[in-house]
Amino acid sequence: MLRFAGGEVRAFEELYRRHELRVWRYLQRNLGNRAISDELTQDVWFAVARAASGYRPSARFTTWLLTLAHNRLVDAFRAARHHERPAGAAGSDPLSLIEQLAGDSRAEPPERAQSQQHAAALLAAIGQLPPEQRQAFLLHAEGELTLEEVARVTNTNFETAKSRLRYARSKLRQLLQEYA
Amino acid sequence: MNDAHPDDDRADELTERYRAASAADPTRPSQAVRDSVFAYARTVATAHAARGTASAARRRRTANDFAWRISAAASVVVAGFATLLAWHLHAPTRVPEQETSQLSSQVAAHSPPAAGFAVEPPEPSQADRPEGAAPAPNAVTTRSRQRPDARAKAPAAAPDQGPGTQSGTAVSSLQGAPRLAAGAVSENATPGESALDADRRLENPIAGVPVAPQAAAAPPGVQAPRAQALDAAASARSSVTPNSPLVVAAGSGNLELVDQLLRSGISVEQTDARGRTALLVATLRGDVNMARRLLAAGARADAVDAAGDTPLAAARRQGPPELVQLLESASHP
Repeated sequence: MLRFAGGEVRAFEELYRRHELRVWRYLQRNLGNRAISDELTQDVWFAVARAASGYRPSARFTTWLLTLAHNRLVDAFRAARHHERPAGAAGSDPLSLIEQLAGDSRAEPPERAQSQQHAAALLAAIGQLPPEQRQAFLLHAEGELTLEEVARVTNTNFETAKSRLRYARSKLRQLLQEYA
Repeated sequence: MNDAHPDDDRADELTERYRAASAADPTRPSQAVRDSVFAYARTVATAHAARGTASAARRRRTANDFAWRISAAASVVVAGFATLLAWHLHAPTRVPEQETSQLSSQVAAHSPPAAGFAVEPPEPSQADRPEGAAPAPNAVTTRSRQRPDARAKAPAAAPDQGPGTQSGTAVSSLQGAPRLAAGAVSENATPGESALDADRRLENPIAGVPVAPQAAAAPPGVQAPRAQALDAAASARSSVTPNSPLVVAAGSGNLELVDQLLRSGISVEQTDARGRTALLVATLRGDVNMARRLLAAGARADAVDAAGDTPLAAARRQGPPELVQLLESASHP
């Protein structure tokens, strides 16, 4: 960021490539819609570029970046006037992923095919979590944030973030057992 | 406050499974997003560079710029003038007071006494006084000389005092009040009370007020009642201004000082202990220019002093014809 603030565009491109999937997946697994995820991802990185001149490294860049993404996610939910994932997108993406993984798995050895099915089932189960629990789980698992950082990004306290993460894990285990 | 535990942040088996599944997920954001973000970043970087160049061109002047020093010097000069102006406007009474003191000494030293004025004989020094002798009633003690508020509150001698005292009063109005202060209080001293004790009573605000004629006329040994003294002080303050700077300045012929005092807002009708206005004093001196300036400031030609004299009467009695004409035209505009 500091190099980009100094005018080095290549530093920004490097930064983008490093964090591109982290941001996009956080948005996409929450929204279940690629088009909206692309749009919000673009918004997030535009904001990063604009804020570069005044950026002060007071916290981890990942935390700040996911805070920007989370705020846009909340805005998108608020604009849609509901906190659930968009019904069509939520049903289509995980299923298509499962189908895609299952289709690919037909040519794979049985152990690997089973692993891919389990992965698809896990991603599908994440889509069924309540929004706050899903956000807490994704920030922790996808964003690799600590609980303190999860609490900061979601503007809650540590105990709330910890509780949400615990409920999310519990719910996922339950869903995966049902799937199995 | 939280009870964070290292295990809380530890990636459990479910998290590891998610990360593996996510890594295997082939979905990616579209290339269009990447292109637009990079293009925007280049635009922002260019704008930042242009802004940086512009801000460098508008940089503030450094301390070694010559123009900065000129501005600072000009600011100091302006501030100094403003301070002088503020001091002049907000402390108008201190100027004449200081100048009066200087003027008093100058008049006493160099100016010949005006008509009707007599010089007080020099005070015997401490060395001239025999040892053990009590200080004379009118003696100026060291304490009274050192007490500026006593000088300010020093009452003028009563009009009914003798000629010698009156002449002393006239001079002392120019030469300073301590003599009068000590003298007036000593006159009020009760039998057996030394001049020093009476002088010490100056610290009492009631004892320190100018003594009005009726209070001074009380028989020796009988102190005026407190209320009477207060009434006398009030009436004295309203009409008599001991050491009135305007009267002193008019009596010394200092037209510049009179002009300055009048501009500062001082009342042109201020009188000395004998009820004489500045115009009357100027008339007694035969000072036409001074009288013209005072009349222009609104001085009354028919103001009566304690002896019943007026500037017009005094001019007719002893003044030059030009002054008489001036005062007559002022009396009958």
